[in-house]
Amino acid sequence: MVWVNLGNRWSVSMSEHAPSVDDVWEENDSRELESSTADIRRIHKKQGYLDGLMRAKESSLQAGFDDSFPKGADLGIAAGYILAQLISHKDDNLLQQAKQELNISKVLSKKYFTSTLEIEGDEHPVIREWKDKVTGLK
Amino acid sequence: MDIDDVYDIENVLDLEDEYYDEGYKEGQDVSVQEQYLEGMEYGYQTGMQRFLIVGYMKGLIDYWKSHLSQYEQVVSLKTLENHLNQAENVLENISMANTEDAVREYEKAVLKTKNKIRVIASICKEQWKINDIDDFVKEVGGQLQASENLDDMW
Repeated sequence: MVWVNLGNRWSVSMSEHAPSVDDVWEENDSRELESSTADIRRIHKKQGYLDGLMRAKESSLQAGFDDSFPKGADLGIAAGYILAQLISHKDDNLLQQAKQELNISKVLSKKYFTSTLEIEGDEHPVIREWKDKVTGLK
Repeated sequence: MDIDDVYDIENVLDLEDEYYDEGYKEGQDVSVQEQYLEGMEYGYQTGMQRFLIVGYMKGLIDYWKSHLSQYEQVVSLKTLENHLNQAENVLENISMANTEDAVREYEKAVLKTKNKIRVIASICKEQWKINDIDDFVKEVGGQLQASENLDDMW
């Protein structure tokens, strides 16, 4: 799976790794196929199933991405704002500390999210903590 | 080939379509919650990375606006305020949606505001606030590689 941005929206593409019929259905298809209705049904239903599955997965990935993208943007705006305020106030100690604590890997740590990837509570606790610190500088 | 042969081929093709559609519907009905959550992880990451710089520029503007008197000696406050208001207006209109139009507008707006911020920083003799802006954003947000394995993060 890859995420691509071709000058427009971020989109998911699973086509590179889309399994073929043989990858998923463990049967020996090398034998001569009989031209019976049963064979036609089996072959075409399998391919339809795989195509439907891949399409559903792609659209679910995209839906998840689209739903959380603005929430991630909110976090990014808040973190960037805090860092700019700290640099403007020339508080290098707090700035260095904030760079560590507001790093994407810390902010997006699973411990701050529910099992359905919603932020626990009203506001991200690390963001709230730093907002309070910055307010104190003014 | 006589007419009966053609009729038989058409029947077979209809059947193929029918069976394909039957399979397609079954495939679509499989649970996709796992993929939805995986998409959410990428969305959070990409959204945060893309908008760090927006927040950073908002933070700079707010500081300048609330400390205008500091710059009286180096620039006309009216000029400075005009620059700040223009930059602020561009940032306020950036959409956070992941649509084709919004992403295209984002690129334009960020570039425009960055240029405006450079002018303001230069006027205020505070280029140090923006000299390393891209490295700064990368340091906090990481490289924009949404296809990376996010296991460590999530």
